[in-house]
Amino acid sequence: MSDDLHMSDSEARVDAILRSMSEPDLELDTPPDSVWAGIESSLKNDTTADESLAPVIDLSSRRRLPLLIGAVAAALVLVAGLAVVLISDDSTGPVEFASAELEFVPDDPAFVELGAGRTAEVTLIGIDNAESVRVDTADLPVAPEGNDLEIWLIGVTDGEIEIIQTLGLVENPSSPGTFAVPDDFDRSTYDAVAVDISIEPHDGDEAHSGMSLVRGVLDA
Amino acid sequence: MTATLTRPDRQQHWWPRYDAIVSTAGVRIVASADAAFARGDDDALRKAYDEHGRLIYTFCSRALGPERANDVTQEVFLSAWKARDRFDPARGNLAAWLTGIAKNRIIDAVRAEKRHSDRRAAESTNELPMESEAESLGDKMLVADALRTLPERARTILTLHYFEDLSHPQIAERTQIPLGTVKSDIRRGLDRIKQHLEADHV
Repeated sequence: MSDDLHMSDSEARVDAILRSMSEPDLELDTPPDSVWAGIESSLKNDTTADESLAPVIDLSSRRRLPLLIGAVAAALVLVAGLAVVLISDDSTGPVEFASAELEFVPDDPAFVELGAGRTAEVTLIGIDNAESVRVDTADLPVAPEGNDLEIWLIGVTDGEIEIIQTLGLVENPSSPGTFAVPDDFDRSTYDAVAVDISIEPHDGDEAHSGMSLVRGVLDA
Repeated sequence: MTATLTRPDRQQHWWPRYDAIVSTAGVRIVASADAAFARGDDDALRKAYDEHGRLIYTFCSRALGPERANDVTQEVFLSAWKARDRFDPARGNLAAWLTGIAKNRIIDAVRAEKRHSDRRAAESTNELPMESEAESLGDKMLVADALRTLPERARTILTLHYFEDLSHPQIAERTQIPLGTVKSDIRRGLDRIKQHLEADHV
């Protein structure tokens, strides 16, 4: 096959693995019931030991930076850019860089019924040297049949959208999700960074539908 | 503060620069089951087993044979559960994490067997191919797992391309799907599979 796709190294790796596979590699075997039974019984045997060995860290209880909202936020982005450099050396755990309250975008009358008064909360966190966006969508409605809710990261300079990148789909609004910020998204290069949640019809078009539900600008 | 954003007209081509700059790289949807596992929710281990038990068992079974696969599958889930605070769903999915643990367990099991059957100790020349075999089998398992989660159209196109050796134009002709869509589905499919494979914390 001489099809001409320019592939990155990691795509080429997946391509090579796929080429080494044949259809039987796709089949799955089912383990006998005794396997789960064994897991369950050894779990019961060391429940007490397990609790003391593996304390579970509840990430949601980690410290939160106070919300800073308003025009001041945009002005602080430059400062934040500097702060990131200083903070990101700390690789001991999640660090919160910024947060935003996403508010209903009222200029689309079609969604007043669905979205009026709804909010979502996002927090930009860093773990080691990678950034992620944690999104709490509990207040958002489920997307209408045949649609998804999709989260976008938008870089704005001089009031113009410089870049818009998808972070992913909201699978289930009732549980918070964490989304990796693309490596090539450097937020220090924009005046402001907004997070947007849109309604995306299942139409095969991966571009933003233009139908935003909520949006907000990340504070510093 | 949303006033800084210009509201686009839905009828116009939205944000024309979008196509040039959009990147699907880095998209990671954290499944709520993965998050529940990391939190240690009550039934999260059972759910993880229901979701990934067949994957891990098949991996172990192909590497070690069905009999020893039973024990090793149990060990994988038990040790993953005990170490769940080291699993970070933001950095990789549970399937990839479990597969990484299974790979290590498989290598341990083969080494232990070697020591048993050959008291003069395993020769290092034998260990290297065994490790890379476990690695490449694990990669295949995860790629197959990712393939199952792709949308129907992309899965069909990738299957025709890789398992029936059809070229892009042949796929377009066979399926009546435009060539550009065939190519972009393959590209996006590879991207998605790539993300499925990534598990930085193993």
